[in-house]
Amino acid sequence: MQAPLFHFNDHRPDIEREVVARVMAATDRFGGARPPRSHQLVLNDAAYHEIRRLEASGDEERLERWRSLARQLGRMDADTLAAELRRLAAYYVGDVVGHFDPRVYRFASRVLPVGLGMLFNAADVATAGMRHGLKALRELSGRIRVEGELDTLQRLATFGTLVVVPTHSSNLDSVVLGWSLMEAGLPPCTYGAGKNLFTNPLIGYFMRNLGAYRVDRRLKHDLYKQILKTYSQVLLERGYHSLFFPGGTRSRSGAVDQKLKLGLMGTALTATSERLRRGDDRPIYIVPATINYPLVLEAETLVGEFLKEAGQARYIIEDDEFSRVGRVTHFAIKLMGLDTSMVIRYGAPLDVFGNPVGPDGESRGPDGTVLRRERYLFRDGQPVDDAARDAEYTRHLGREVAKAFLRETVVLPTALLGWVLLERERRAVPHLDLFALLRTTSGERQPLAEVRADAERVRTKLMAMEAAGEVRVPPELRRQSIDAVVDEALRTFAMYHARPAAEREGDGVVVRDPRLLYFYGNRLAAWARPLREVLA
Amino acid sequence: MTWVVLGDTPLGRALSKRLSGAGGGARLVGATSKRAAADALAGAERVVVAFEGRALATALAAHASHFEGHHRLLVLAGRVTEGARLPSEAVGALTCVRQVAVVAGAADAGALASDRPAAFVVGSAFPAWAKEIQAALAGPALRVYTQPDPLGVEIAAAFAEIGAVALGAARGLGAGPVAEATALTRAVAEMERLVVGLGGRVGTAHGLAGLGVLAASALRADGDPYRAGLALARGERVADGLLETAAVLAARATEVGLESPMLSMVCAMLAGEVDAAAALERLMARAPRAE
Repeated sequence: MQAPLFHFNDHRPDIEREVVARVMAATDRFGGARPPRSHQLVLNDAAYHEIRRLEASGDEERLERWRSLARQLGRMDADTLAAELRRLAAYYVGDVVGHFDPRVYRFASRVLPVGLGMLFNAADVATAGMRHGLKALRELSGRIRVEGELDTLQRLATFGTLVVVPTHSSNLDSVVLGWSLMEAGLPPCTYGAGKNLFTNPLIGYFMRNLGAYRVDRRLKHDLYKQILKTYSQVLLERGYHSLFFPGGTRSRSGAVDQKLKLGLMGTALTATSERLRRGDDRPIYIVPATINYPLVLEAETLVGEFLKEAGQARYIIEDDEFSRVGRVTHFAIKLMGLDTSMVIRYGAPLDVFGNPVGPDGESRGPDGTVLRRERYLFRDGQPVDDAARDAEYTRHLGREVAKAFLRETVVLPTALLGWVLLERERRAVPHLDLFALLRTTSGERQPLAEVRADAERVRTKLMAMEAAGEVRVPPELRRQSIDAVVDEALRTFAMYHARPAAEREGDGVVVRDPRLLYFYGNRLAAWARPLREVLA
Repeated sequence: MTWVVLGDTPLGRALSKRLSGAGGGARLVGATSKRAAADALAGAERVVVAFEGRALATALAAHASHFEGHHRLLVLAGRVTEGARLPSEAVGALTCVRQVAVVAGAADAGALASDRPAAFVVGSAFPAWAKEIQAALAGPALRVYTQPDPLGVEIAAAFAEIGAVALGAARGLGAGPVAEATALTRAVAEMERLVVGLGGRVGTAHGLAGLGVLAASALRADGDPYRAGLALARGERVADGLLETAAVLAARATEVGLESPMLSMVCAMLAGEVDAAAALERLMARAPRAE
């Protein structure tokens, strides 16, 4: 059966109408008020946030339009308020809603890996001509391994709706994931992508035509948030496989995402409720996935932001490595030269209540009992609306997804060596805080033999943790000698970044960029306590 | 509105009697009767599990296959259960039930049976379920408060047991009312740090689950943990259940880098590593600090 996204364009006007209608219905109840008061409140909130934003951005024309609206709100009658709200809602929905062109999809799937292929093709054409570029692309696909519960997910996609929720490290994630879905025999997903990503003409073309919808993160008002959630919910209700990044933004620290944003994930539950209300019992499945890069394109910018803001992530980084075509090209070529594969791992599916789902699509309790999912929505034998209950269900789901992210994290040599080197430095000066440690570590030389010995201890511990289902250790890390693993990590560090995180110097390893070391090693931050014990 | 009370314990019987007035009534089921429990759970959504400690985990595991998503559970806050879990964590790990509430406070089976004025706090992240419990249990002699911080209620209730051991020991040593009052206030301060450090909310420790239980123990100079403290002061050993709870709390405190001197000392007393007099001496000898 063809994925629903292939028929998206036929339904697009209808979807837009439904989203606008539902948003209007929701605004009728805004803030506990009733129209026209509730409409006035929603418009006022939008005007307040937009005026604040535009005052900072200097867009005078739009600013004046919003100011004018704000001035008139108090004098508008009920019909004018409703019409204005409907006009705005329709405008925003039109701006958000995506597009899917089956021809572009077929072209992408036949000629190039979706988006990623196009991205790298541009690089290769620029440097070595088309023929070399296509060869390099084939090599590239060998550098990305897609693994996990693929058979189960293929089966579930035939009768259920998948919501893929991956970790988020790079702006390349959505492109790489799009390719991996195809590679894994899974249907294409619709997903929300930051509007700033559409400005890249090449990637923007593919994103526009392959089901991505635009999310303008600068817009903070309730009307826009309501539109995004409603759009997501309507798509899920209609069976469109979807993809959200629950971490919200790329991980600035390099750590595996653990603080998840639940707004869009919650739409899976509300869509399930709505489906059941209509007698549609097709299930929605949550699919945690991890994207594991040996090198991260934007590592320098991300960790810089993390340290600068002392963990308070600025919401959007407008200008980073992703926006510089040359840098992306450089990254792509270097990625192809690595021995270590990038790994995309699709974990076991969950239902919208956070229960594990078996290969048959049935939800299971902790003792393996098959569960009747709809019962979670029942009170006194009937399905009952309860927003607080559903919000708590979604918080539980978020916790289960966060746990799955850890279980499905694939430890690559750069993470292993990054963690070991920085931990050794930390032990040498335990009184320093992170910032002081990173300021003073550059240039430190560590004996290679000791580094290898510690790396071996950590690897052994990770393998024991893998046996307990706590993390993934890939074959190349498991089977190679520890000397080879350390060498591979050092080679990888040296291949792309202007200044490598660390490099070999005779019989020692010298820390060159402690911030990068921190970024890559932080991938193992969640396991720091047991790993530290083996170095004690 | 049918209720099932799993656990033919004194508190189970008292709760069952009180809930039997709530609409469809309450059915009391013993732990060993699997068929009776299965029948009861098939016909009810509201369930009280009136076991504590290891018995709670045993009962949940025994009936796991009979629970479904619509079931709503009320469990007793206080002791940790098997696998170093708080009671609500045991429900999450052993059953498919999500809607959980924990009850704690200055009330016990005796108070419920005698109709002496008493009070409970019901902690739950599911407000509708907390209100159902409140409506069903509250009466002329029983105040029931809801609290949206179930984790805080559980940690406070567990710590209150440990604090009561310290208060009992202080009384047993004849340290005097000033020392006992100091122990009480320091216990509350430590409890607050622990609750907040482990993810609960500010203030929960000062409610019925924490200060309420501690104050009740001190004022009536009774209760299992308090008596355990008296026994420790006499140089006797006490049962393991309290040590398990103390050890789990201490481990969690260490995990998040919290200092918990009273907890550590009670842990050491319960483990037989230090006698009550020496424990008091060590606590008094701690470096001076701001309150």
